[in-house]
Amino acid sequence: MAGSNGEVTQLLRAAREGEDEALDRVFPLVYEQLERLARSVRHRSGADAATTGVMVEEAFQRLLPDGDLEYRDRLHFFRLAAKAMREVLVDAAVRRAEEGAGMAGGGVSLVGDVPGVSAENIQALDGALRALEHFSPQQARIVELRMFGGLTAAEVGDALELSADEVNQELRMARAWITARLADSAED
Amino acid sequence: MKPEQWSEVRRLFRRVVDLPPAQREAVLAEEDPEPEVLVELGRLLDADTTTDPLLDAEVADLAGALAEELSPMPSLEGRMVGPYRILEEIGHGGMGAVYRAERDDVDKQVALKLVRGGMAAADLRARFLLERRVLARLEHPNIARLMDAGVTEDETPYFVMEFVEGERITTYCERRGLDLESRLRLFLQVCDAVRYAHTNLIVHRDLKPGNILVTEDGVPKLLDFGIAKLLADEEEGADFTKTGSHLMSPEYAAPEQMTGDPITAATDVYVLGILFCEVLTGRRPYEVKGTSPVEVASAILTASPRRPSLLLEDALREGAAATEPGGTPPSFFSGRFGSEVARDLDAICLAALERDPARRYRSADQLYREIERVLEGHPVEARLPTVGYRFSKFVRRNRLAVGAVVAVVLSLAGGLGAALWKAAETERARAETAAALARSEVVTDFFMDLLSANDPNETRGEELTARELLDRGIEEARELEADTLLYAELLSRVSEVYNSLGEYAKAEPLAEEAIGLKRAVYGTGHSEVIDLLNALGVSKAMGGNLPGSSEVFRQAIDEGSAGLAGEEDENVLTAMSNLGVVLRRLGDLAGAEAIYRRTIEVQRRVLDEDDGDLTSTLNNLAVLLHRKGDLAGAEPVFTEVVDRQRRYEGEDSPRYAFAMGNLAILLQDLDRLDEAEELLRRSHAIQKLVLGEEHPEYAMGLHNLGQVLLRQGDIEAADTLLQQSLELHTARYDEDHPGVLQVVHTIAELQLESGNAAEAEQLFRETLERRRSVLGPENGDVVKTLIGLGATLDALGRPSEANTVYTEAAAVAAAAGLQSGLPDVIRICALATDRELAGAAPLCADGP
Repeated sequence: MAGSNGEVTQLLRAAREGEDEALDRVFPLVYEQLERLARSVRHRSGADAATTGVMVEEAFQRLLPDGDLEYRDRLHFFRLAAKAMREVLVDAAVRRAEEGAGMAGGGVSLVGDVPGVSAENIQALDGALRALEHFSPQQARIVELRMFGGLTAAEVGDALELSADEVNQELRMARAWITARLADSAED
Repeated sequence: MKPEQWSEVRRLFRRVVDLPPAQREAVLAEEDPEPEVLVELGRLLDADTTTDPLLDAEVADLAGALAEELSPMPSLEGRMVGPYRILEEIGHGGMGAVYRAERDDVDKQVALKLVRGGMAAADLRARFLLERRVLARLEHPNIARLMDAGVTEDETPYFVMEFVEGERITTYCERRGLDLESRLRLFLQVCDAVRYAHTNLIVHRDLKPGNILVTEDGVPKLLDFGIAKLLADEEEGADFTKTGSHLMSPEYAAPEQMTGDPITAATDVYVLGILFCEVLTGRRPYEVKGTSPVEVASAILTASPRRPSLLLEDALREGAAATEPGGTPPSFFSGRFGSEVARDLDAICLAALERDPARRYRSADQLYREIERVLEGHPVEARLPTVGYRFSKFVRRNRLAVGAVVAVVLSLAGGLGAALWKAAETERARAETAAALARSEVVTDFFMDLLSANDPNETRGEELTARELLDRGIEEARELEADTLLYAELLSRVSEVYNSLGEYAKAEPLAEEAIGLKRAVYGTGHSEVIDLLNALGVSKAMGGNLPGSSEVFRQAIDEGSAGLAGEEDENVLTAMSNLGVVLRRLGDLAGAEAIYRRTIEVQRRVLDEDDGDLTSTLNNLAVLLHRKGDLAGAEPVFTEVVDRQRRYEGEDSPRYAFAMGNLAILLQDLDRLDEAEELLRRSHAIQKLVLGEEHPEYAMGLHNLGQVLLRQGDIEAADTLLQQSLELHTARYDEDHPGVLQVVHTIAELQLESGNAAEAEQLFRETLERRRSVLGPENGDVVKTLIGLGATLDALGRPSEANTVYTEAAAVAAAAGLQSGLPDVIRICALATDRELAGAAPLCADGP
């Protein structure tokens, strides 16, 4: 497997010191790892085995098994991973939407669907987040870290140098903004 | 919006978001922001109070669901899932996909549902096997049968159902423009199917139009019975509401499914109420807006359903442009079905849609009768002023929160109405059907009440255990004595549940009382009486009282043969084979043989040629003869069993494979190794194909084949098979499991054959010790291991030690009742003669 332990660690350190190229090289490794984990979700038992937070954590442990990383580099990894997780899910949603068009139903019942979660919703959420990034990048990043990285408010605060209270306030407003935007686009 | 305006929106949002509306206005008036800022702020504050499914789901839940939704299901078309070949996908969604599939050997298509995510496959399989007995009983023309379940190679659980071609009941009504009467008659069949399942104590839990398909011939078929519960059990107790959100379609969920209160027959009644509205009017009685769990829950918990007559008015008003061809129902409530009928139907829907389960119709049967009353022009109960009281007399009781206990007791109480239903299929009992079904419904209700009623005043807030509930239930039952048969039915069912709980001492007096009552009503020797005697006999046997049990079975046979039932009665036949089993366990092999032969004689006369009961008695007889040492007598019987299983169960059926395995073991004892090998190879191939490599019978089949190869001298091939079998066994069982011990024993024999006597000695000694403690010291398998150990000691040049071991083997064989014809006995006695072992005399007195 590409991306052995030492490689990722070094790339992360280099990235912290401002080598954008290093970041470009870590990202695909993380993406690949997360995608593999997401594909294996089906085989797991227990609902909580499959959260984004657990997957990101697992990716971290697989890519950096010795955990020998400074806290700041760790946060860096999780920022990266949240972004990668988001892309994994959005890419999968696009694929699903393409292949799945017109296939559901067919007179046969399925056991049930999780309310609110569908390929279209994921794509809509991603679109809203991208719009938010334009004029309120910090709020967008908070949403990304919380939802796709599975970080707690305190961890998000550490990553972005904010207090947990500030994170929660920003998150609340971002949430309201995205809700309003999704409602608008639903009415169109 | 300019950046500085956005900053202003941010600042104001933070400032006012937590303020009550009045203060908000005051602050905003004072701040007096630009109009654009004010508009944007208003939008955000509004959005802040609305919920959004994606954003509000717990991050963990959401992400898990996302990943499950998005992880691809591999395309399976053309591939085998268990014995089924996938033909095409016919639907998919968040939880998995459904395929049309077929078995190569059976010319019948099935629907195969692959379930993805969350579920531990092994648990599902185990639970399915537990429930299969109950589910298999669900035979009803309007229920698509659940035929099988299993786990694919990549551990995805699957269900196999009868394949139904049809359209959703709502679409069907709409497309054909059915009139009211046809709709009522169609829905009546749906209620009939659900009430039948309720009588069997199975609640559907996930009724919806997609689960009720109407075939081309207009027959409604209910899908997925039993599946929701199988899937829900796993998570029950952990987080009930989460279970709910996974399994339910929010539009067709009952309030208690949102709150996590117990799921009962009334849950299905509620959903039938929604479906009834929709079938009548094309609309649901209320809409569930929004999709987040919180929103859905609050919508359902606060919904005030619209009456069908109003829904229809809505539909007519909005549909004035005639969106539906075929002229849907403008004339619904006119003519024969006038406004009185509209009021009846309104009342029925609302009574089914009561938020409190205790105020609804208590079962689908009550709903069925109501609709029937409408069709017959009788007044419906839902409009009687007393109905509130009638449905609410149980309201005061609090519901039991221990879903697990409820589930256990319900599944144990299982066969409740099924026996009655089955009886109704025979000519003789048809006249009694109606009364019996009514009783069975009361009994079902009784149990459901019992389980859902739990008064905290009496229990001082503690939850009652199932046992305590039963104890209390039987007291209540005594107060019902008005109807003797009903009381007797209750007594015997409670007795059954006690039995299942292992409370044999409590079960027996109840069964005896019930027998007395039924004898008084039906007369001596009536089949119903024999049925209860059987239950009593089983109870005594399970409680360890084998002599008492055999007496009860004898009484059942004598009373039944001489009495009303006659020797050919189904229950009398059951008593006979029960007696055979008990006698065999008592060591009365001759008595057991006699009763088996008598049973077979009657069964050949009475049963259909392909009846499985006859096969099973034949198999019991064959095993018995083999055990007695009558090898020559056992062979034709085993051969007939093999033949019957092949013909009636099929060339690739596990039962056929199993029967061949039994015959092969006999042939080994007869030293016809080549024939045994051929049978075992065929058996092995079927087991591999049909059962899969993780099935215990497959693992045992490997061992049996290995054993034959060993005896034929093919040590290398035997070694491979035995090691494989051992691996499979130890992966599944602990080291004391009889199967594991059998494999280790044979491996010890192999070591001895290969010249590793020291290794063999150690394995034999270990096996011996474990077999003694697991199987008891006086056991045929212990004898086999002693013989192996003796041979090993001879090979190691320690003949006097071997003699001691052989002497012990002779004593154990005698104590275990091994008969003179068995190879082990013949061998011991031959050795004893050669070596002049005095201790073998009692075993070998008759001479080999």
